[in-house]
Amino acid sequence: MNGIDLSAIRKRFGETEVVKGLDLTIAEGEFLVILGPSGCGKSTLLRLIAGLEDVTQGRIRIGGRDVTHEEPGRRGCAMVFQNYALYPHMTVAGNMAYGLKVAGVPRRERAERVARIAGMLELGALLDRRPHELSGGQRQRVAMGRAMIRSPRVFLFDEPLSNLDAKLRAQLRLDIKRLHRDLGTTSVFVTHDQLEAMTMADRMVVMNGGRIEQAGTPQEIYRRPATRFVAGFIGAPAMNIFPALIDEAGRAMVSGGWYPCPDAVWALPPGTEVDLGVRPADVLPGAPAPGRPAFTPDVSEDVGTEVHLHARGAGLDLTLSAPAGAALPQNDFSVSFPAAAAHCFAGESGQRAALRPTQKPERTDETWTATSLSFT
Amino acid sequence: MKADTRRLVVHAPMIVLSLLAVFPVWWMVVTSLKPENEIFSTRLWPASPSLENYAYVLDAIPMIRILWNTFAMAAATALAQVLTGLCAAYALTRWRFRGSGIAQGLIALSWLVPFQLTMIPNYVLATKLGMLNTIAGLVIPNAAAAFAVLVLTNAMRSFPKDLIDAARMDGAGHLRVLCEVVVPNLRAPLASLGVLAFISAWNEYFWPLLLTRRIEDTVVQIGLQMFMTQEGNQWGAMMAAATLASLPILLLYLVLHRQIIDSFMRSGIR
Ligand SMILES: Nc1ncnc2c1ncn2[C@@H]1O[C@H](COP(=O)(O)OP(=O)(O)OP(=O)(O)O)[C@@H](O)[C@H]1O
Ligand SMILES: [Mg+2]
Repeated sequence: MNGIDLSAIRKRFGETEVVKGLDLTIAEGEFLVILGPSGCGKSTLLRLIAGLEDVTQGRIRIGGRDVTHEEPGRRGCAMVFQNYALYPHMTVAGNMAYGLKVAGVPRRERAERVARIAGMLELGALLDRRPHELSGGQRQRVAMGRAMIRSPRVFLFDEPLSNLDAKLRAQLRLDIKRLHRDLGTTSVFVTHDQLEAMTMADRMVVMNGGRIEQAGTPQEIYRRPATRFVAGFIGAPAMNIFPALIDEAGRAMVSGGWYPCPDAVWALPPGTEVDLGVRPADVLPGAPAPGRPAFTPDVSEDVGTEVHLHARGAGLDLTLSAPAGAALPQNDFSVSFPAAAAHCFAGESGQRAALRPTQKPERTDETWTATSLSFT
Repeated sequence: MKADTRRLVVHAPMIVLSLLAVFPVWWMVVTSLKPENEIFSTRLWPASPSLENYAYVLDAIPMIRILWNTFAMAAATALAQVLTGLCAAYALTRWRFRGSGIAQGLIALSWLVPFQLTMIPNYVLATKLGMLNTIAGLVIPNAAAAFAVLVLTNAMRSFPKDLIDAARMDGAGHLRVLCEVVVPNLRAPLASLGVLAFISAWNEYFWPLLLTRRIEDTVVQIGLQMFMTQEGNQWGAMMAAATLASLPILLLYLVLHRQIIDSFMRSGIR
């Protein structure tokens, strides 16, 4: 029973509201990743859970117990900070054991537990060093050890890997996943790196401007982004988005009478202004044809496993990606995509629109899934 | 050659300034060692140095007792100022409360209030509380200093916030955070502030003059005055007493001068 339950959380700093009424339930043992652009309130949300900030409104429950007004030390949360936040005047062992010392654990037991955790994190040889004598990766492992030692009910991570180089980051990502598999502790992990988010998350929450845009598994969020913001934010290269207009039949028409996805009929009234989206991997290039704008290849990027082609046409930018070695258009080409690969977002809030029910249901068969999964 | 000239140009004024600063101290020590008949000679070292002035000082006034009073007063004042400053700085920087800005403004403003303005009310209060002739009476009105609060508030501002948050996550309360995380990492500013407070308390003159009536309850700065009499100044004795009065400060400096210079060069950690 170590889940977290947030209901109607609001946080205001003076006049500015940073978290704007947020509901979220995190299941016991879940590895939840919070992803969002800089300044969207991720850290603030984490600090609210930790108790380092007081909520302006709302309730926080951890393991069924209301901890809204509990001191941070008594909530059973442990936190790993972006810049490690190790105590500079204490040794590695001292850093790890400080929480136990505060809790009044006798010296001998402290030493035993430090030794055990140090063994798990391969810190055994470093116990007598000071933080300034450690490398970044080692410091981060000490910070992890400090978090683990009190066997907390919840781990909170605030961008713990963003100060490390790419290789170390990948390494520690695995270490954290492995630890989570072995310990099964409920974890909330904040990041603005979507690769990190997609690879680590059991479930993912995309935040923007203090609100949750979408919550779901990485696959759900990648395949069926709930809003225009999520569609543009998740996936690299980013989804192609064309402004379009719904016609009498419910099809989306991009300016100039072009129907890039004529099969899709949307459940929207005629005349609605929408954004029509398609992942670069789902774009089907074809021969130039009348009535369809011609796109001219501009720059291509080879990232090893796949190639991204950037093209321009009819005042629109388009990105197309294909597996390495696949044939890419060399000359002007036209573009279309299947209804199953089309995303449509309508209105101010950019909510996802549904296909009209008469339409055959959205395809989720294997072949299509395979291409849509590839992102870097 | 060129570098040498440059060094000379840079160092010469410093040497002159140092001599200017050291000379009065030197003269004080030399005069204190002169016997009565040599007192007004201008030689840089007495012809027949003697300790008779020191013997006279120790005999004429309870000098040891007075030095001890001064030390106790200065140490207690410095400690109190550092402690109150630290607590205030922690509260001002770490707690968000209504009116914290006003509180900080008032503290800064109190720095500008001249001593003469608070002298009489404080004196009346101290008398009513029975603090005449006591060390407590000397210390308590100076136990909190705006200067200390401002200096430490600044140091706390640049103190890494995450470190305190980490300690709070480890379950430490505010007092524990202050003692076990903040203080060990703020040693340099705390030490320099303590030294400054100690020296300025040691040199305090007016307040002890008002508050102490008996020679055995007083402090050195008042003690020195005993040798300025109606019949003229006893220069030898006064200089001997002044030398004795400056020794503890000198010792303090010798012991701590590395830390003091260090902390004036940089503030905060890192
Ligand atoms: N103590 C504070 N006082 C006032 N405003 C704050 C405070 N802490 C955060 N904010 C504001 O709240 C907003 C969200 O901050 P937060 O640190 O939660 O963003 P974030 O999503 O973690 O961003 P990043 O990815 O850059 O870390 C920002 O606009 C920030 O300026
Ligand atoms: Mg942040």
